[in-house]
Amino acid sequence: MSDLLQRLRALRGEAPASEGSPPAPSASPASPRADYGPSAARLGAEVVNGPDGSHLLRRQSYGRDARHGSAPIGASGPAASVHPWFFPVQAHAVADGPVAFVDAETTGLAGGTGTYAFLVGVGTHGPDGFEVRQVLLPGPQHERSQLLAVAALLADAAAVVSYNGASFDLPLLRTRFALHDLPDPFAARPHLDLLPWARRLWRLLLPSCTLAEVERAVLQVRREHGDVPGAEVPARYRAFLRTSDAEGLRGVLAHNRDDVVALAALRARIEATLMWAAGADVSGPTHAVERYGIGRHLEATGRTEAALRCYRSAERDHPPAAWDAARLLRRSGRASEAVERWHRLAGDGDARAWIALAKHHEHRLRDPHGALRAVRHAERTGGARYDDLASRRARLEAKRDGPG
Amino acid sequence: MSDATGGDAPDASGGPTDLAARLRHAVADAARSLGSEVVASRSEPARSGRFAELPPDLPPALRAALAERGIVRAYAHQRTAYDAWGEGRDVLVTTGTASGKSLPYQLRIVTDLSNDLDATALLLFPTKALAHDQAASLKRLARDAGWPDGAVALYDGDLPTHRRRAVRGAVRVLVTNPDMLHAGILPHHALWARWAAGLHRIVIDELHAYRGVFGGHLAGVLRRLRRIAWAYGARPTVYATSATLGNPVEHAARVIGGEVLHLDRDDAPRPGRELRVVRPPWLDRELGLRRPPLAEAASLAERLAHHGLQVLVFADGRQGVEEAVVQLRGRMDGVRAYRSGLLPAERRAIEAELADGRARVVVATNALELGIDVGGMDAVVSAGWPGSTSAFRQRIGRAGRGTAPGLGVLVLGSDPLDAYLAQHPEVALGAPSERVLTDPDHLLLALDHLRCAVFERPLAPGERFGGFDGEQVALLAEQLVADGEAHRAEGRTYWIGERYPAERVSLRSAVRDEVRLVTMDGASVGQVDGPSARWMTHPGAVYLHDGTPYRVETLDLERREARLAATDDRFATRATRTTEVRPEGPTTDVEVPGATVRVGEVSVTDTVTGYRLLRRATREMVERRPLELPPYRLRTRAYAVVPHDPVVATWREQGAWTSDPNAYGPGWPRLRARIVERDGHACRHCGTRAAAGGPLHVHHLVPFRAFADRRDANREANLVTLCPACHRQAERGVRIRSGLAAVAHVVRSLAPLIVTCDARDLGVTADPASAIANGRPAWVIHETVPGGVGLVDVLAERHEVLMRAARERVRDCPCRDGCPSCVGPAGEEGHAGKDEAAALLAVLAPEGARSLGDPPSTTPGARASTGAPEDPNREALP
Repeated sequence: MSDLLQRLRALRGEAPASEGSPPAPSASPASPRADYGPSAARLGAEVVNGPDGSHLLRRQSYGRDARHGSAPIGASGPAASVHPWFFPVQAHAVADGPVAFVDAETTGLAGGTGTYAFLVGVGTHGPDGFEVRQVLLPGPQHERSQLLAVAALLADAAAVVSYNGASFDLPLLRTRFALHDLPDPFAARPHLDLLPWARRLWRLLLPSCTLAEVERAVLQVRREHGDVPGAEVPARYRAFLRTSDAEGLRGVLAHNRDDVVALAALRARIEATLMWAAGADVSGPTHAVERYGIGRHLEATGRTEAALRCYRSAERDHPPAAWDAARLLRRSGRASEAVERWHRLAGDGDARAWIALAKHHEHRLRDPHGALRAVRHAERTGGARYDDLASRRARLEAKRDGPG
Repeated sequence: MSDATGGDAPDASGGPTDLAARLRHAVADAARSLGSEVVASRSEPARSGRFAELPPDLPPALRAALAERGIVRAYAHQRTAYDAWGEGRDVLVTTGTASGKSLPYQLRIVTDLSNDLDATALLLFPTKALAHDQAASLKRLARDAGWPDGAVALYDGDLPTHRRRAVRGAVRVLVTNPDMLHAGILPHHALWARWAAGLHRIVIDELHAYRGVFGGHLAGVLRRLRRIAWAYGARPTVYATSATLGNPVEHAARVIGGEVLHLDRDDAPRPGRELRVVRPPWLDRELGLRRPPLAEAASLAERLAHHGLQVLVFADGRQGVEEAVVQLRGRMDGVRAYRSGLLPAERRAIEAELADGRARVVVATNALELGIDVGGMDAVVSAGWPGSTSAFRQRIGRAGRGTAPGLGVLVLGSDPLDAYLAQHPEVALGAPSERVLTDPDHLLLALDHLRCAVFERPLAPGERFGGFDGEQVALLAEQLVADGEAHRAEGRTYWIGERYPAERVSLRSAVRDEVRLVTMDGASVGQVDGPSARWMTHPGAVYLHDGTPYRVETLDLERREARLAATDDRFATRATRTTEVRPEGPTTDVEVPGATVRVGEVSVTDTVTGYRLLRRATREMVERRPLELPPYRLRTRAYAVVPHDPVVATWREQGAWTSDPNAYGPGWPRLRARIVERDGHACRHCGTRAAAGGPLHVHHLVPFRAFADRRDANREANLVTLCPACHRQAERGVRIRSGLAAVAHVVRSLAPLIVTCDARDLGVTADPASAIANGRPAWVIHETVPGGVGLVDVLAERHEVLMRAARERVRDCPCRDGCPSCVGPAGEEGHAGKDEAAALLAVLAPEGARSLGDPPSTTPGARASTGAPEDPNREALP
């Protein structure tokens, strides 16, 4: 062993290696083109060779009637592409056209130039159903070949759908394309990241909004036993590079494929919710919190009528929806409907509802007595947090005792 | 430079000469009133400047804007630098403080980038504050040249994430620090592709600041930067600036890589300077105690300010700054503290007050030394020796406004180095000769950067990296493969590790390790680095910020936060630390007179075991309190001096050396009798009774001199009865310990002068049972930077020079029993051990030929007293 490495070991505080045990020689053979046939066979993939290197490609198809848990994946959905509400700004850009569902497995979570997306899964809908195509990097020297294959799979896509892709998968893939001086296939395509949608709809219901958690709770899908945990993925790929044994990657490919399928299912599920909220004759979400969540989002994006519809459908089981419904109703001049809700909420001890009633009695009904009663209730239910009750009370008492 | 005291500046106009006379009068008056001793005076004449035309190729808009500001010509050296860099060479400029080292690169960059719209540049500064200043000044020039906003941009850790993308998109001149380049830019170079492809000019300012490991890291980062730039087709050249050094070209070549064109002729006019070296007055001549230099410097500043001068005081460390500010605030207005822990807004405010004169005295740490442009001051007072001639020149370079003369005062302290400089002031006032050491090819450091490099871009077959040829790089790459971080295929090496290597490599140990200081109500009062946090901001510590004392309530090293509460009590604290040095791996031994010098890798464990609560005014100890804090561990290099066994044996035999008996007080005979009575008239160690072994002795467990009050030393719990034999045994330990500690004290101060480094770069420990000496007595000097840069290797080479200097210092010191200027005062380690140190040094630095192991008692300087009867009442450690 060389002096250099002996010195390195000494500096690192490692036992000096005995002669004849140099660091393990790297596994990749010296031959310029390794034979990836056995790996491909093990993974059910094919080897694609080209002037820029090799990659492995695996396809898996799902028929038109296929479902993933409670959601359909086989058809591209009731709308032609994705629902325009998904893209409030870019709606015009999402003209008809197929959508590509993209998920990448990487050698690390850090990003930067030294993290490879060694496996990219792309799902698309066709006349016969849904198809997932996965492009595997057989060794980092073949990255150009892999990226060109990914770009080809995206060529027809009008938009890209991911889960947390805005902050992870896409920047990482775009870096890979940039490093090879290849055109960026994501540059001109609208991107729909489903993670923020999942957060809007289910954050209040779920302990976390990881894809696995959402899949379990919303789609009622339990991944088959033996699914590879995400944290194990990089180590499995390193083991494959070291040993050329692809066995450990089978689970990784399955995991990635299932993620892509889950993306399609989740898109369909959220889209159904949007269509319901838009007034289409489809069954809406069963859980009131979810209906409330979509309402909040719609209100924030200016779709007040649809939001009100969501609140009203949720208010029976989820009181905060009643509060928001009352707010929108009052604003559109439907005071009696609002008052009805405030009464209901106030009956449950909601201080904000008491305050709303106090205002209603004071300003609309010109009834200081009723307003004072409401203020007293508000005081008892902790309303001082929301309003300057003391001033309100003083003003009302003055009105009550004053001339008139 | 003239040696003549009172030599006037060669300016016939009279004005500056009058000012020079005023400065001379002010400093003489101040020193006289304080009773200080002026050990050296020197007048440096003013120098008139040499000028040259502005470069002819400047963009017309820029030339017009410069003219509008009155800049119509340059110093000749600036023009030379501008032209030389234009020819495409790497340039190193080491002209003096305030000689305008920035203007040439600023003009060159604005000119080049105006002509080539794809070209870009990088400016690297060691601190955020400097980067901030330079970015502002360059932005002005860029506006003058008609560039769009955003073309010059500061990109550092303070830039909010949401603004980074915009900066990346528009930037042409990127102003940042090496840490950001290392961890924030290079690993993401794909996002910087346009900027990297255009990279034409690189500026590295304050190159001398990159010493030791920091220098090695900068070299690693620059290697990576060039590698990435090359990949994008760019071929940048470097313009570096540095303070004057002993080895500027060598240092630049190491850090930048390759040859540089060195420009050191300084054509800037320089104000005349009155320089003084001052020693504070004696507090106690016998104990060798003088007034502390910090207090002296503050008093001098106060008096100079009363003479109408604006004064800048340099103190070492923020604690020093705070103490001086507290002292001065009681006596005058317009006192400001300027130190590195300040928040940017606070710094800017002080810089403004300096400029408009509201600040009369500013006390600063080295934060100001690093070239912040605050203009000139009338007077600069340096509290103590800043550690190197170049640092000292930088400090006094602040004296003088424009061509008006300035005053520079060096107030020496009491440590052996300062005492040495008092005897040899020409060393302090002379030209800098320090060498800055750094080792970019340090194996661990280079491997760290190679890992980052592989992450950034696969290694090509046969690729070299710094001082490592293709074959060595291939071996290191194999190691990365073996570590599971890389994959080799077709001769290339690819990063496949899961982690982000740059994130785990800190360019300066302190950077990522900073502990935030937060008051109980959430206000930030700055930060300290991790290793220092343990002893500066441990729970219970009193920490001064801007003159306000705070008590540290909690220190959370995991969350990197200390919580502080304002306190108005009159206490200060001093942490008690223990340091253990263990060898790691093989060592190299060299035989020297009387000892073995051992050099190798070590691990250093520094533990804060407790602290002392002191009265702030008198430094009197109130009590000791224990602490339990996780230790700080450091892997580095060390140099140990292991005295030969015969030397140690002789030394043990000489256990009868006496020092003067302590005055144990009038009640001592009675107390002694009571202790012997208490202990049953028997040795508590071996049980020998009085009759058998002669009279029994009473021994102080914690040495008598460790106590401020003899009543504390003579507490009965601190006293124990021992027979003469056991007492001798106990005393031997303390002899060795004292002697070692005494030598360590001298060596600690002199070593930085011998190896020309900063005092903080070295740590010294004395251990009677050292792990690096197989349990024998030794003292150990270790480097405080992780991995070391070879300072101890230089020290080991110059071992005998160090020993001779130490021996002279101890021999020539007029004190009786040790003082701060030689072996240190008597203290917790037992008595000062001056005799023992002298004896030991006489063996280690023999005059002429001397055989090893000569009895130390026969050497001059040691008072041999082998035959003297043992004083039963001497102090010792248990």
